[in-house]
Amino acid sequence: MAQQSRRGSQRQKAGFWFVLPAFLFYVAFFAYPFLSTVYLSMTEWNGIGDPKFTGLTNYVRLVQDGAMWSALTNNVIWVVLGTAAPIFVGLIISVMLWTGVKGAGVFRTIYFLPMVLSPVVIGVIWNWIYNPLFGLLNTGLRNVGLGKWAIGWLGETETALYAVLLTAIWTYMGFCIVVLYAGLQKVDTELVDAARIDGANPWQRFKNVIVPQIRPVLTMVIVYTVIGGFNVFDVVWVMTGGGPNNASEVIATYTYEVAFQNSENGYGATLSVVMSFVALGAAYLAMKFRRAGEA
Amino acid sequence: MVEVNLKNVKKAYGNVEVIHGIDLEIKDNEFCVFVGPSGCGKSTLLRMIAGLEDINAGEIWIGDKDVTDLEPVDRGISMVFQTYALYPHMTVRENIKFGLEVAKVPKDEIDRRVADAAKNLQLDSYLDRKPGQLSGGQRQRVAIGRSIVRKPDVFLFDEPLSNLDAELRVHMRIEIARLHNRLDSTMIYVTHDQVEAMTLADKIVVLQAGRIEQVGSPLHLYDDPDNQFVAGFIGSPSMNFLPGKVTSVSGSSVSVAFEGGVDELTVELSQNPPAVGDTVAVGIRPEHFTINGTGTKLSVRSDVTEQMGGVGYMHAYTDKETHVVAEIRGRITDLDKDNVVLTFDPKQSFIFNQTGARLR
Ligand SMILES: Nc1ncnc2c1ncn2[C@@H]1O[C@H](COP(=O)(O)OP(=O)(O)OP(=O)(O)O)[C@@H](O)[C@H]1O
Ligand SMILES: [Mg+2]
Repeated sequence: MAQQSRRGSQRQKAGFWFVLPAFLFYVAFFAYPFLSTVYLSMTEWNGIGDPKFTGLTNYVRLVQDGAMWSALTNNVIWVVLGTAAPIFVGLIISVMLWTGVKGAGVFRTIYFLPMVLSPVVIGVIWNWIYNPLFGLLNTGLRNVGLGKWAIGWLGETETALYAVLLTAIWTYMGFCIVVLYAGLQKVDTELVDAARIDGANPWQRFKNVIVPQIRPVLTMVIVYTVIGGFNVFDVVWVMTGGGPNNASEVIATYTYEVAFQNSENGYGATLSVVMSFVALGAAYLAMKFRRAGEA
Repeated sequence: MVEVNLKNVKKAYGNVEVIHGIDLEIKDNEFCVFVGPSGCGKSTLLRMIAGLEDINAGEIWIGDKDVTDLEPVDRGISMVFQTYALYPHMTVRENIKFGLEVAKVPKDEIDRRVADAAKNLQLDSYLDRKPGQLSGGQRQRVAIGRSIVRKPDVFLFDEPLSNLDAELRVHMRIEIARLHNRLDSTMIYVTHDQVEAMTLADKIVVLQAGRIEQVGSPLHLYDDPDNQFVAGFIGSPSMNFLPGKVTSVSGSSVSVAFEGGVDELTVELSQNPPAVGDTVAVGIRPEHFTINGTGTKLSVRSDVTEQMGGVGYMHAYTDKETHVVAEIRGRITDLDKDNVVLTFDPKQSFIFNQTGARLR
C-alpha cells in the first residue's frame, strides 16, 4: 500500500512537470494580459505616463455611452444574421454534397477558399465588387436594367453594415460547409435509408435523422460564429472603417478608435473586458440551448 | 394476395453492371431467402425491391401493382437492416412509432400498435430507453418492432442476425420463424449463413455475381443441385469435388477415373452424357462417405478429425493433396491414418462438366 501511494504521488509530480510549460504559456500569453487589461479598465491612461486609478468610472461611462450601444446593436445583428444565414445555407449545401453530387471534391475546395484568404484580401475583393461605378454588383444591376438600384453599397448608412456582413457571411459559409460536411461523413447512411422506408420525406429525413446526428458539429459552428460575431474587426475595418457616420461601427472598431486614435487606453480596456464577457456569455448560452434541444 | 415479381431487373453502378437481368417469382406468404457469396448482389437486389436503389431495366411488381417507380413507402414493404439502423437520438418507443407518425396514423392507434409490438417482442420494459442502452439482440427486436407496426405486405431483411453472437443468433432465428408463422406475410431474407437459409426458407435463391444460379426449396437444392456452384454452396461442410476424366461411355453408362479413386466410378448419365476424355468433377457429400464400406473406393491420408460427439469430421488428403472432408458417425479406433479407404455409393455422387454444369 505504502509503496503504491508513493508511486502514485511520484506520478503526480511527473504530471506537474508535463503540464508546467503549457501552464506558463497560458499565464504569459493569456492570464497576465487579461488581468492587466482588467486593471487598465479601471484607470484613466493616455498611453504615456502612469495610469490613474479611477475605480468603476469607466464602467459607468460605458453604460451611458450611446455610441457603444449602437455599435453593440450592430454586433447583435451581426451575430444573428452571421450565424443563421451561413448555417442555413451551409447545411443545405453540405447535405447536397453529401448525398452525392458529382465532383463534390471540387466544390469543397471552392467553398473552402474564403477560409484560406486573409480578411484583408477578402475586404479588398469585396470593396471592388461593391464599387459604386465599376463594381461587379452595380455593373450587373445596370446590365439587367436595375440601374436605379445601383448605389454605393458601402457608402450609404442604410446598407453599409449589411454589405460588410454579406462579405463575412460569404467567408463563414465556406467554413460551415466544410465542417458540416466533415460531420456528415460520420452519419450512418442506413439511418437515412431506414427513414425512407419509414416514409419520411426529404425534409423530415433532414430534420429528424440527419440534423440530430450532426448536433455536436452544429454546436461548434454556432459557438464559432457567435464569438466571431462579437469580436469581428478586420473585415469591417478594411471595408468601411466603421463608417459612414458610424453606421457599420462594431464594438471592436469602436474600441480601436477609442484606444488608439483617441488615446483613451483605460476606456478601451473597459470596452474589451465587457465584450469578452458578452461573447463568452453568448457562447455559453448557445451551447446550453443546443444541449437542451438534444435532451 | 401479395406476390413479388421481378421481371428482368438490371442494376448498374456507373457502367459496371452488378445485377444482370433477374427474373423471380415470390409467392404470397412465402419465406424467400437470398444466399450467395459476399459481393454477389444480394443486398443490392433487396434494396431494389425496397425502392432504395433505382433500377436500370426491368419491372418490379408487388401484389398487383407495378412498383418500379414508386417510393419505398408506397410499396407496402418494410425493411430490417444488418446494423439495425435505429435512430440513436430517439427512444425505443419513438423509433417504433416514427413511421406511423410520419404517416399520420391516429394517436390512439399508434399507441395500440406500439404496445402490441412491444408485448410480442418482449420490449415493454425498454420502451423509454435509447438504442445505445440496449444489447444487440434487443436492438434487433426493436428494428423488427419498427417494421411490424407498419403492417407491411412484404418484409425485407438484410442479414439481420449477422451482428449477433452464435447463441443469440439461434434464438432470434427461431423468433423470426415464429414471426413468419404468426404474421402470414411474404418475407424476403438475405443471408450468407447456410443454416439460416436452410432452416428458415420455403424457397432459396442462390445468387452468384449478379445472376441466379438456382431457385428451389432447401432440400431440393441440397438433393438436386443444377451446378457445381450450388452443390458446393448448399450443405455444410460443403460437398467434396475430385477432378476426374471420362474413360469410357457406353449408352448412358459412364466410367470416370478420378483423383484418389482406387477403381473407376461408373454412373448412369442419360440426359447429357460426356465424351471419352472429357474433364469432369466428381462431387460427394461428406455424409455419403463410409470407412471401409461398400461401393466406390477412395484412398486418402487422414489428417485431423474434428470430433463433435455424435459425428466427427475427418479432414483428409488424396495423393495429389486435394482436401476431402468425410462425416464419420460413431467412434473410429485403430485407424491407419496413412491408408484410409473411404467408400461411397455411386448413385449418391454428382458429376459436373468443365463449365460446372451438372450431368445427369
Ligand atoms: N454504391 C455502389 N457503388 C458501386 N458499386 C457498388 C455499390 N454498392 C454495391 N456495389 C457493388 O455491387 C456488388 C453487389 O454488392 P452487394 O452489396 O449487393 O453484395 P452482397 O451480396 O450484399 O454482399 P455481402 O454479402 O458482402 O453483403 C458488389 O460487387 C459491390 O462492389
Ligand atoms: Mg449485403
